[in-house]
Amino acid sequence: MGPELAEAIKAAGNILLGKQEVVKLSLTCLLARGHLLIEDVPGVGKTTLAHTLAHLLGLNYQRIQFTSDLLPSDIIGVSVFDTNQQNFQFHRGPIFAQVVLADEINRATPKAQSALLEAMEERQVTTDGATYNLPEPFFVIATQNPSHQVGTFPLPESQLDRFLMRISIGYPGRSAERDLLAGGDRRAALEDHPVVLDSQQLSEYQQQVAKVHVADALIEYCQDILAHTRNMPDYRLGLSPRAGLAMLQAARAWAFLEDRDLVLPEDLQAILPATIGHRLQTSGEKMSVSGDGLVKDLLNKIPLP
Amino acid sequence: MQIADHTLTARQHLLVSLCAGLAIAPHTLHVPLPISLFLIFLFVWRLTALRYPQFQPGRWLLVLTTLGGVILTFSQYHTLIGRDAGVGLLTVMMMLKILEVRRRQDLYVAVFISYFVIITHFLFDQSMVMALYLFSVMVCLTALLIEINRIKPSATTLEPFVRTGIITLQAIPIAIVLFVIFPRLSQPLWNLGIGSSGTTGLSDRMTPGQIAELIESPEVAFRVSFDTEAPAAEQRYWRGLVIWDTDGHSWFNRKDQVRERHMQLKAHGEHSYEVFLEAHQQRWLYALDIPVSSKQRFRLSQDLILQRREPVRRSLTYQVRSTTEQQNKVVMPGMLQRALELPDNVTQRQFELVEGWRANAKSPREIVELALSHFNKQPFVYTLTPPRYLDNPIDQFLFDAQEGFCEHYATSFTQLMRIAGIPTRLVLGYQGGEYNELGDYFIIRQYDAHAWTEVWLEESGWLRVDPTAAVAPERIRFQLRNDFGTEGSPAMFQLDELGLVGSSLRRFAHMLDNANIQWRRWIIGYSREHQFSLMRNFGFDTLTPLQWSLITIGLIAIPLMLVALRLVLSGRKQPLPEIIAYERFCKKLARLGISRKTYEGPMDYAKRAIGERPDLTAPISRITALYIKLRYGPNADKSQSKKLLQQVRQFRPGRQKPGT
Repeated sequence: MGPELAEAIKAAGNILLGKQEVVKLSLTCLLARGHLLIEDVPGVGKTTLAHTLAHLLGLNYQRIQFTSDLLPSDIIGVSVFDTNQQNFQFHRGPIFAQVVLADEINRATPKAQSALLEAMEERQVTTDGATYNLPEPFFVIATQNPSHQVGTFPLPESQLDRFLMRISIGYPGRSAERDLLAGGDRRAALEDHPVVLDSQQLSEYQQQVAKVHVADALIEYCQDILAHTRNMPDYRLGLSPRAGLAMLQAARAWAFLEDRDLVLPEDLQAILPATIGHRLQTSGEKMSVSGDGLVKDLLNKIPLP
Repeated sequence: MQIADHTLTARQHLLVSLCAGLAIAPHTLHVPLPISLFLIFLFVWRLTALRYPQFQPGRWLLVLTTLGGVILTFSQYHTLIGRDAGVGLLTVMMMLKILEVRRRQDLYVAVFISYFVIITHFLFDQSMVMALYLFSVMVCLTALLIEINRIKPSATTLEPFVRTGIITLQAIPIAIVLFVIFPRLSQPLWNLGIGSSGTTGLSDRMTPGQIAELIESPEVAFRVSFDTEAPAAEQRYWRGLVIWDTDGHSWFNRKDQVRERHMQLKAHGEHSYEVFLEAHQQRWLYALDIPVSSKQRFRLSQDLILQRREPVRRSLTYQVRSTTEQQNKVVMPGMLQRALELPDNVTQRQFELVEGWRANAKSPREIVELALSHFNKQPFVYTLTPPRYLDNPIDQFLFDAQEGFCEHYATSFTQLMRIAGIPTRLVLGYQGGEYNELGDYFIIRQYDAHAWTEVWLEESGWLRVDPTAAVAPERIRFQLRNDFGTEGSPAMFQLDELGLVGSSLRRFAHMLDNANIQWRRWIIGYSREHQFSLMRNFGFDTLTPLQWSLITIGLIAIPLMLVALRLVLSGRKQPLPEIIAYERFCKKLARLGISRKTYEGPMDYAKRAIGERPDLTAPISRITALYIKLRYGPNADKSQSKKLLQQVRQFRPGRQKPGT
């Protein structure tokens, strides 16, 4: 790991006080070329996190506020007839940015949601017969309110699967909150902080992450986890092979952040709650257990190969 | 893999001691008394030591006790080899092993010796009851073995037994197949030069009162199962041996007179039956009067006695054909002379009695009839408790007391006939028998012992004459009742007038006897001959015994070899050396109380271990780093795994944290 990344984590930690782990996971997600879903109540710093990452890593940043009347063209852009040149001119929407914050994604209708999610998957936008590539790197941070809040369209499972990770930020600890309350404007502090990285370097890091070694023993462990979720009656639906790929990808990025060129079981365990928490559906008596607790429970049942 | 630790719980200690005690228990009856007492002493010592650990013997005391046990065994048998001494030594050693069971390994040894001890019981006793007992001990041992191999103790006591039951059920088909097809020795193992006691029945020397002694015994002499219809009670004379000579007191066969000639009778023999003879230590075999041939080709002597070369030292099964219709005209030179010899103490009274008959009779047959009617008309009493005739038994019986038993009637009748010049001989055997309707066979007990005579008449050959029947015809038709009155009182006979309790008791006894006999017939008696005849039924009759043996051994050996091969091949897939080394490392740390959780990654574990033992930071980090590189890194280097093994070997953490 380059010193820039350590610097980025440190700086972000200064902005989001007491949320080192969340910052690290978000960075992992970014390095693994995945998209991030933050599920939490309003006001805990979702937007700040997105903004901080974009700023520190020198990426351009767009925010889309999802509402129930949001249309796909509001995200992707719209073709407008240019009377001077007598043709249609495509006006790029807010999605053409390196970091896109899709705020309160579950407030929009499924139609608008899927416009975003398709762009996320394809990393390109096709409209009126023309295809436009999205910038590189392309990183979507979506936030959503807990699904039981009023006026939400919960994301279907297939779309949740598009996010590499789902995390929640949570309230800060008491001392962190005190610092937050006593300190000055966080946004201002961020603007003052120099950019630590450019998008060129970030792409290089992403390529290095892909080269982190995954041993057979670890693949076996990963398979044990997948098999366990498929065989146990606790889960309504086992994990998909895509989930397996996501797990290894995230584990690689985590190991890279841990300054290692090989993945350890610990890396897999560290990213697992965030990576599979939203992909697992429980059934039976496990219904009441929340995502993280569920995954920890699962990990304790599977011995290392 | 998580291996349970090596110490045993108090309950497991107690269970293994009890199971081993059960396995040994029946041997205390076979070994000499001092050894039995020694075994019991050791067992009590063991139980005491379990309760009060201060009594647990130390190493030296144990060595001394072992030495004492060997010396004791040797002093009792004067050897340490052979069946009896071997079993004595085995039981003593096993009890000593139980005494020193401390760890898991000891317990395995104890259980497996117990399995072996179970087998040795069959050297002494092959009865069904013993087999059932040993089977239940085996089940207990297996359940114990299952229980101690569990990481967590079973929830209920029943659980290991259920598991054992499943294993046993799975094993039964294999056991049956092996039992049926595995090549058998022509003689069972337990008969190799090994004597067994068994009760003795009739002997070849008859003194007055001898049969009366036998009559008190309800022991089974033999059982008979008829293939054809069984003859009526008054025809069921079981011929044992023929006695010719007398000294006026007892009756016997003079050695110099016995000629070992053997017969081949041409008669067909309309009765075909199987005899299950108990050991009686004699060479003659009992058969329905008169035997014609036996399937086992036993020799038939000139006086028509079925004989074996060896005394019957263990129970024996044989098939015989007999005839009750044909006449026995076998006569050898000198035979009739021998059947006329008289002792020196024949009195005047006897001659006069016989003279009276001769004067009135025209033929020998009429003399016989007159003699029988003499017994019938004179006030002769049939009693099981006759007075003792000491000087001249026959004379005293005939003229003074006139109270006697089959042997008195038979001997005196023989002597009177000889005086009359009719060749007569004495036959000993059994008469009658109790019918077991459950198993369709007859039980002949010692109290069915009987003596009768055979007279030689020109026209009919040797003719069976039973003078007892002239006095007490009930003796022949009914069972003797087994209660004895005062001396001289007439014997009572058992009629079929039993009450409900009596008849159900008898029914139960019959059931038990039947189960036993079937056990002996089909399990113990399943011999090489049975095996071959069974194979013939399946069409393997072209095979010689040797070929058959080779084929069965092959059939058993090939699957076993395949299984073994598979085990060997699967054993090739050894875990990687770095895993072995790392597991050893974890075990070493576990001994310090820091055991790795199954899901714990190496880094987390190392962190935790270092947290507990900061003094071991350097070796733990070094080993963990190397292991991680080997196990999870790219391009593992073989020499590195050796290095890891070496490092783990050198890792010898002290039990205590320094400074605490």
